[in-house]
Amino acid sequence: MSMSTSEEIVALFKKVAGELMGESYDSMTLTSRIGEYGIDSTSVFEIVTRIEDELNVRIPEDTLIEMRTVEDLVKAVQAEQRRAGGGGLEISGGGGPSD
Amino acid sequence: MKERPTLHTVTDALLALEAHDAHGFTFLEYPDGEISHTFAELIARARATAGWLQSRGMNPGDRLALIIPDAHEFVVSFYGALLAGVVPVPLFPPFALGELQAYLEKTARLLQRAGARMVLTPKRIERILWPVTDTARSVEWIVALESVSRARPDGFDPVAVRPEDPAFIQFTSGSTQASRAVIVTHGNLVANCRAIVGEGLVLDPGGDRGLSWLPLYHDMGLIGFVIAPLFVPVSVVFMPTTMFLRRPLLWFEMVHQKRATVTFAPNFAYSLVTNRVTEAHLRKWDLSCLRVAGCGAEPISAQTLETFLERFSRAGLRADALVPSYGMAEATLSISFKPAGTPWRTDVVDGRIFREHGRAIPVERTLEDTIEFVSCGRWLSGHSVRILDEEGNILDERCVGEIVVAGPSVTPGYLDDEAATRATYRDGWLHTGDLGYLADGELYVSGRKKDLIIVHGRNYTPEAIEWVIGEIPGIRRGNVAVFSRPGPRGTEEVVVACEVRSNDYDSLRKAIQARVSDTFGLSVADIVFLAPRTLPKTTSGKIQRQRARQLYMEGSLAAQGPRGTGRSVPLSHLVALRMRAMVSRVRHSTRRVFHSGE
Repeated sequence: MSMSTSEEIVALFKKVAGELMGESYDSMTLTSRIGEYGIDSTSVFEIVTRIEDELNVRIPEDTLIEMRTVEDLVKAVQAEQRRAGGGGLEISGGGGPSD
Repeated sequence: MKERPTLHTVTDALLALEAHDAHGFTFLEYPDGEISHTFAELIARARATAGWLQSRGMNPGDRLALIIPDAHEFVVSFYGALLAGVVPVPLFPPFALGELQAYLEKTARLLQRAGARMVLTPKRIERILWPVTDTARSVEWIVALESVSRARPDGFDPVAVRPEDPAFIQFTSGSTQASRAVIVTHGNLVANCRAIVGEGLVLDPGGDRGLSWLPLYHDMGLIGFVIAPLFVPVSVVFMPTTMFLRRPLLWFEMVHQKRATVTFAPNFAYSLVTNRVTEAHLRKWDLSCLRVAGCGAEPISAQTLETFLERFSRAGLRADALVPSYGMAEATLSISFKPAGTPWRTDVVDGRIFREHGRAIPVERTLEDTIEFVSCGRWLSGHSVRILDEEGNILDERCVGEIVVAGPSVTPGYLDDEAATRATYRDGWLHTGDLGYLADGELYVSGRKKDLIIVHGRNYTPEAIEWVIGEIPGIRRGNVAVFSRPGPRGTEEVVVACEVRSNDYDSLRKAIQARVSDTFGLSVADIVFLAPRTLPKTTSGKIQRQRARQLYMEGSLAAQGPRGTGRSVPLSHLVALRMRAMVSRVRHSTRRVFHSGE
């Protein structure tokens, strides 16, 4: 399985959150705290699950509970992709894992 | 059917099911697992837990805090405590987007208030919980569930439990400063559960099956689906709350698959599934099995239920399945239910007369200024409900006042809070702090006297939220007002109005969002920054939240700087409100009315 770049994951997050919450999250960046943008502890589960479905990963619940920034989400997704796909180089989007 | 012995306590009910294998609980696991246990099996494990508690020196009356997300483990631990006469105190686990430090501080305060002696929790929570013992001095042990030995189911010494003994402690709100620990006795539970399963829902052990995703640390999930079923008995399917939050439609997918007949949820959940459901789902599902789609724990929106019913009737859901209900922890759980087998009712009243005179005069729905309230039905037999005015006089039907309740479900009071107990429980009546009226013998809940905010079925006291915001540099401590406004689809949203010293609005906004999210897992819908000394206060300096809210809804709260989070009250909404001249709910959204200030 290929690794998603952090840009791809952030874009996906904005798209999914936008669809589910009916709001725009264009101003969010990697370091944005999810809770600062009107997404609460109840809504975040659905958003993360949709992202998991799109990217075919499953983030452990403990990790999900500890996520606070968009970057935390990106790292969690990439960690699962690495675990599932055995790594592999990124072909597009520049560079290896963003951390 | 074997004649059941008279049950005076929940412990009696548990012991009566020791050999019962015709019913039990099914625990779903995300994404697609499940495990079932008969009552006999559950109680055997509970007996072993009771024996273990006794072997660790836990005595009858000692409080045992339970921070257990897993339903199966929670149930066994809860039942085990009851068998040993130990008093469980369900607490919520760490929540998503929350900050650990804030969670630990809050949990420590709750543990201290409850005087908990032991905490039972899974290892992954146990290992981060230890700092609470600095403040929660009553706590002697924090035990990981994985280390509880349930090896000896017969090592349990039965304990004499009386109806007046505390059964468990229920915290009423998700905040700290004003969190109240309600003592719920065995007698309260027997009375309330009997009424729920009997006249309320008319449950039949031969045909009914419950399904719930509700959190078990909250009264509707705990009393409704863990305790009440013992009195029938009836089987229940438990879905982890996070499973519902991840995929809301699994709720009704499982109702369909498991042929569930009873389910309950707060208003927001009905709104959510209505929004998410597709034609494909509705074609696939047969929901004719559902006899009770109960709604409670937060204000009920007529619009939400109407839309839900309209869509889900296409999957065979019966209109009379909707069961609006009203209750509160101080009354154990239930105060009133829509009567079984009847269609749900609403009352459309004249808006102006309601707001200005506190009277509910029914009018045609087509009129310009109307408010629609959902009936919460009849109150439980053996109980009394009255509507009182400010002076305590009993009001006639269709006059709005405070709802007060009396009867065996009314709990004895709060643990360690004499003043609050005296203020709330007076002369044998529970003063709910909710506003409502009676019409044709049915109860309509129309508002709230207290300033409580309810989001996703959970209570939050404004003081607690104001306090954490007041700690942010640049915000004038003590000059913060937090209140709610109607949100989309019958929800409530949080609004913050605060006086500031700085004009770095962007950072302040982020800091407020972060603090509220960290501490409560809540999002703030709008933030209004005010100049010093512009927040409405009484002459004695007390913040007038309802007045601030009124001004906010009218658009005349003297805001400075760029508006809040970008989700300010929509213009059309403001215009509509201005036409109605005062704080009111917009037709077809929440049907709550706040009466302004002191």
